[in-house]
Amino acid sequence: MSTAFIECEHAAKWYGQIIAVNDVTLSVPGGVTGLLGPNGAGKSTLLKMMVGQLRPSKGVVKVLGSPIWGNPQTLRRIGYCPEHEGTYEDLTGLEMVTALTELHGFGHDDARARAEKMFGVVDLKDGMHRRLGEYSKGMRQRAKLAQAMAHDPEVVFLDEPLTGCDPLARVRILEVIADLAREGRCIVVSSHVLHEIETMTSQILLIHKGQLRAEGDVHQIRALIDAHPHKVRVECDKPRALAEKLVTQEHVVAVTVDGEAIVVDTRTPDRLYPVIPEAAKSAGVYIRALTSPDDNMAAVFKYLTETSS
Amino acid sequence: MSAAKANAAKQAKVMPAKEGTILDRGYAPYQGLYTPEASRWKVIAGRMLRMSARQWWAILLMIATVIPLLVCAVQMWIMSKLFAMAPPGVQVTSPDTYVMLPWGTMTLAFLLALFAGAGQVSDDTRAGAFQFYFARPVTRDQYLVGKVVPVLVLTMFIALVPAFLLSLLRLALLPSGAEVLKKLPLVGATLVTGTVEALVLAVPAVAISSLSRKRSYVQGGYAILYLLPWIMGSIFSKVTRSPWPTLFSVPAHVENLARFVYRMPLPEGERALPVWISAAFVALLVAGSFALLRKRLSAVEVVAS
Amino acid sequence: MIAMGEASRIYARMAWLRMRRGRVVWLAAALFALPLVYIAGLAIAGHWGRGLFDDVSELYFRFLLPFVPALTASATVAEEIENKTFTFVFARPAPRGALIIGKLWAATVPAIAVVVPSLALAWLVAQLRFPADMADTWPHLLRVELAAVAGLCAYGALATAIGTLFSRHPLVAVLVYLMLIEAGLGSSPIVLNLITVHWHLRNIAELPLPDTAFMAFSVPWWGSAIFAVGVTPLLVWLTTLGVNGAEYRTDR
Repeated sequence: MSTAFIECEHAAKWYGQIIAVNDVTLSVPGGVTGLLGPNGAGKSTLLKMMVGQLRPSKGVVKVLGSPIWGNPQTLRRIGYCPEHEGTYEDLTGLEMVTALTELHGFGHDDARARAEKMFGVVDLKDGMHRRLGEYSKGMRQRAKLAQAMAHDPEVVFLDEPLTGCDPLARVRILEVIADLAREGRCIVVSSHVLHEIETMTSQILLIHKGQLRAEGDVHQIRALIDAHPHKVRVECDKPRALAEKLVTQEHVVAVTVDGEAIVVDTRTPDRLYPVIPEAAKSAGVYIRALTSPDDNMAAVFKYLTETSS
Repeated sequence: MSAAKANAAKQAKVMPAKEGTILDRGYAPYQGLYTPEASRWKVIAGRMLRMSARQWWAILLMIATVIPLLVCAVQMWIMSKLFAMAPPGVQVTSPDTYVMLPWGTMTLAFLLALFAGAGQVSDDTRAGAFQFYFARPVTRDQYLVGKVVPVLVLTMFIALVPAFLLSLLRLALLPSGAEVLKKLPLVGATLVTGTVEALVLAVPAVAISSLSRKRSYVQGGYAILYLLPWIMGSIFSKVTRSPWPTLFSVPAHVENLARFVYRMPLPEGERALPVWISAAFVALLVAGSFALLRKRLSAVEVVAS
Repeated sequence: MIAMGEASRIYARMAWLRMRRGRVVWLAAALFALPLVYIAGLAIAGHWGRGLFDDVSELYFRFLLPFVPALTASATVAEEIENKTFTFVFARPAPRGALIIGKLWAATVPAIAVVVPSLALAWLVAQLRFPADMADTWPHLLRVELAAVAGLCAYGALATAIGTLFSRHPLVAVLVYLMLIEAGLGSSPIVLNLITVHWHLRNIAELPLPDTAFMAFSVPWWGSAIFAVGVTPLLVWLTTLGVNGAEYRTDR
């Protein structure tokens, strides 16, 4: 059983008439957890409550067992990479990260050494002596990541960490995140780019209209979504023949012929899978590929946010 | 596709291009009227004016202007009665003095120009808005006019309107039509001085705004331009007993011109610069500000930052 | 949590690095050099003595001392909000008040380091023709220097407090306060002028005070010194209180 690094108990945040986060109760274990949601869902607000920059209007947000708001002791153990691009334009990357690391209680030389090491980790050693005002978007993003991790935090919050990064930088950052997770830390990544979250983790928190819509493994969540039958796509040489065999099965909701494939809708995919090869064999059909197009984060995201819209 | 074309493509070892097809979905270019190009500045000016006039600071400053207006109106009314009743030889302050708003609205007008003018161009520079403006049929001159006019209008509201209203009140307090005709130039004087004051405050504010992306730098620079020569000038003209230290003081020149236009004598013992110097300073400041603004805008290259 | 002193030192160093590389600090230095140019010119033109020094001191007390801290200290918190860098500093286990103290320190200490010698030099130039009078007038110089140092601290704290309260327009808000309250009320003939820093600094520096027409109140110079020195920690404390419980948003 994993210990929760982050816990929210009936946490809510409102601004006047607008409820940004609505009665959210969740717990986040170690490893990478993706925080998903459409624009305006409340992801950033929830993330900022977890980082201690917004006070919950109701409820409590705890990180590492203690409420985070107004708790500098806990701030020592977390790292935060915000989404915005604002930095100290007149400072060099090294100066900024060193100073921010010093604010965690490290001596100047120690902080500088950590900062230099972190710039190496994010592949920005060449640029660390340049002013932040001269940085490109991707360089700025990596500098922000460096300041979030230089002090060895136990919990890291990353808000859109891959924005503006070129493909090589993305790969490097994903490697860094994976390394952090392997070390037993807790990383919360907020992103709109679902396939990137999918490469990092299958643990998600899905927020929509300020409410927590789903929490846990994305595949298990998908299995729970009854309203949308699962789709199984079978590419074969005789799609109509296979369709004719499958349509009579009781757990098949619908079969659609799509070119040289069929898409089978079912509420119980586990029962369908053994039936497909039998049906193919009896119909003399050669199967080229078998995929589940909607057993993924994008589908979960779409189904859960669509229903409440 | 012609045989020759296909052959040529084959020889070139490239895929031959498909022949084009137009799918007519009923698109037709706009055939209606466009607004005149020369009036595009009105769109920019109108939007900036509406936005600025809704800000709390603009509303507060305009409300604050009512106070000196009311005070001077009451004083003018009292003095007009006393003036009429005073026996010959007794000195009474002329009610005309109060048209000049001795309580002063220049500070309020300065603050409004500071608020409204500082961000006009610097905010656009910082936000990369030139990419939007100059990807449209809007010239730099139209942009310039569109940015200056709102600040000028708002500043005139404080610099001109109260004095103009007071001049009308002054005329209304006169006993006969002949007196009214005699005092009519007072109305013209308020229009001239109000316009000069508004120009000298509004245009440099927008010009300085083109020098930096940071609003705080612009505001600081504008405040230095206005306050430093004024304070230094007033201190050192007292020491030297000469008006020349006020050579770069904007309020001193505006006051000098106002005295000339209203035909108000200087107080006993005070000396002022020659009026033509004040007129030249004001003209140079306004013209120089326009020139600076034009130069900065013509140098704008629309590149993504 | 990292100690207040240590955190303030780090913030001060960050702020000083940024100020040095920006334009504001050089502009401030140029402004403080201006009176020296003027006083040299006037001395050459034949104006001498304590009267000249007092007249030049007017420039410091009416403009430079209030205005330069407004330029350097009004955006203490406002620039962190505008640049969204508060998301970095407020995610650190450092007291938020250290940001206020550190940046104020960075804005004030260099200004003091420039103003004190600048005033001393101005005094020297004014006294050059009458060196025998220096023995009598140096206590006056000390009072002016004390007033200048207290003024820089007090105006810096004022600028920080007002700039934090009006974080969208910090410099203008401070200028409004300086022009309408400090300059306006401070020079007015009513007893309310006692609430202004400007009046107390003039009292310390033995500069002419406005005649109070109603409810006249006499304050000894050391009383004004206590006021001017005491207002700084009070304002810093109030600003820190405000920042400690505040939430700042990046989506403004």
